[in-house]
Amino acid sequence: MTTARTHSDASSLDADARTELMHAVLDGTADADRVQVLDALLASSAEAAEEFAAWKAMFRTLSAIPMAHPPEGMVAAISAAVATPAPTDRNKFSNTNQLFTDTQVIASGQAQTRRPPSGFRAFFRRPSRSESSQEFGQMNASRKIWAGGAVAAVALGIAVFATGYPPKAENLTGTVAPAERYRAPQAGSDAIKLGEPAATSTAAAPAAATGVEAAKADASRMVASKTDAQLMAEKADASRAVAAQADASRMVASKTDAQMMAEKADASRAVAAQADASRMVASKTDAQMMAEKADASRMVASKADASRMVASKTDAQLMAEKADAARAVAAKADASKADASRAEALKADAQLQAERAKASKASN
Amino acid sequence: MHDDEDQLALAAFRSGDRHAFIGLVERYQRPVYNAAFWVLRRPDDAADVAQTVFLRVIERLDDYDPQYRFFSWIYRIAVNEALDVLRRNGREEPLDDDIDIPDIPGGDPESVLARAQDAERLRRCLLRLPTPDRIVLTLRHFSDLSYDEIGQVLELDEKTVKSRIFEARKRLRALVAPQMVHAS
Repeated sequence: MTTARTHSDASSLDADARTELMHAVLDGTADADRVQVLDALLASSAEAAEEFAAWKAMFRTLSAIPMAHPPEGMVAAISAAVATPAPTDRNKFSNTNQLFTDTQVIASGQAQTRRPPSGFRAFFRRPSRSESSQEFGQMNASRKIWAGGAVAAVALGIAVFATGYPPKAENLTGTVAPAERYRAPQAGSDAIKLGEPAATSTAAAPAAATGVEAAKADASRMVASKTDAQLMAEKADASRAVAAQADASRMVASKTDAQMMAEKADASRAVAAQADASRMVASKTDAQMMAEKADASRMVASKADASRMVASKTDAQLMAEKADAARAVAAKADASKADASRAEALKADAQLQAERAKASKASN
Repeated sequence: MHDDEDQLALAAFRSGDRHAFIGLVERYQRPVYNAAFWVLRRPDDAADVAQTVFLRVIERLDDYDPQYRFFSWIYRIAVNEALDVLRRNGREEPLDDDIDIPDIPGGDPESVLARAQDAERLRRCLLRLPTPDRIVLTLRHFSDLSYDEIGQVLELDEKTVKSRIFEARKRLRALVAPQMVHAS
C-alpha cells in the first residue's frame, strides 16, 4: 500500500470506522495494511492519537482485571457427585441427574428419548420451554399410566360389587332364563331324557360370555393405557383372570349361593390385593423419590456449607490483604513524611548556614 | 486452549475413567465460574451455576459433537445456565458497591496501587453494563475467545459479535472515561 493511499484512507474514515480500526489493531485482528492506515491517522491527527491512547489504556486495564477464583471445594464437590454410586443401577451417573433436577425414577429413559442433535447449533441450543414441558409430560405420562392402572383395578373391584359380577343365581333370571326353566320342575329320574341336561350348560354359556366380554373390555381399556412391557405381563394376567372368571361363571350355574358368595369374596380380595399392590408400587416409587430428594437436599446443603466456608476464608484473606495494603500505604506515607521532614531540616540547616555565612561576612 | 487434551479426557471418561472428568473440572472450573459470575455478578450464584454446568456436561455428553471445541460447548452451557438463573430470579440483583480491589502484581507500589484502582473502577463500570454487553466483553477480554468462538458460544455470526463488542466497548468507555485518572 502506498503512503499516499494510506493517508487518503486514513483521512476518509468517519468516527465509527476510526474507532473500529483502533479496536481491530488493539485486538490484534487488523492486517498490516490496516495497521499502516492507523499509523498514518495517528501521525496526522492529535485527536485520533488521544482517542487511541484512551482505548489502549482501557484495553490494558481490562486485561489487568484478574479472573476470580472459584470456591476451593468445587472440584471436591463435583468429584463426590460423580464418584458416589447411584442409589439404583439404571444409569452409572444417575445420582448426578438427581442433584439438580426433579427425580427421574419413572422417566429413567429420558436421556435416550432426547432428540438427536442436528449439527452444532442444534446441540448448543438450549431446550425450549416446550421441549422441557414435553420431557416433563413424558415423565408424568408414565406416572399417569401407573395411576390409571391402579384406578382401573379399583374400578373393576367396585364394579364386581356394584353389578354383582359374577352374578348371583337369583340375578340370572332373564339372562339365564333357559337355565331356570330347565331347573324348576324337578322331574323324576324316569322323566329325564338322556341328552337334555346338556342344555343347562349350553344355556349358561351366554351369561358367562357376557361377563367375559365385559372383563375383556375392561382388560383392553387397561391395556390400552400401558407400556408394551407392562402390556405383555398384564395381558397374560388378564387372560388368566378372564379364563378364571369364565370358569367361575360356568361353575356359578351349578353351585350354591354360599359357594358363590365365597368365590365372590375371593374375587374381591384378589381385586383388592391387586389394588394394594398398585398402591404399594406407587408408594414405593414415592418413597424412592423422597429419599432421592432428601439426598439431593443434603448434597446441596453440604455444598452451601462448603461455599460458606470458602467465602469466609476468602473474606479473611481479603481482610488480611487489605490490611497489608493499608500498612504498605501507611508505611509509604510515613516514609514520605520522614523524607519531607528531613528535606525541611536540611533546608533549615542550609538557611541557617547561609545566614551564618552572611553574618560572618557582614562582621568581616 | 487444550482441545486435544479435552477430547482425550472425554474419551477416557466415556469409557469409564471418572478421574478424566475431574481433570476437565480442574481445567475449566475457573473460566466457567467467571463466565457465570460476569452474568450473575454474585459469587455464590456463580459457584452454584459452575457446579451445575459440570453436572450438565455429564448429563448431555451424548449431545456433544467432538468436531467442535469442548470449551465452546461448556461456555455455552455456562452462559445459558447463568441466564436461566437470572431469568428465574426475575430481575437482576442490585449491585453491591463493596467490591474488593484486585491485587495486580508487578511495578512499584505507587503504580501498582494506581493500576489496581483503575482496574477496580473499570470492573465496577463493567458490572454496571447491561448483561449482553458484560457477556460479550468478558468472553473477549477475560476468556480470550476469538470473535468466531464467541459466535459459536452465543450462536451469533461473527459480524454480529464484532458489532456487539464494538458497541459494548463504547458504552463501557462512556462509563469509565470520567473516572480513569491513570488512563494513559
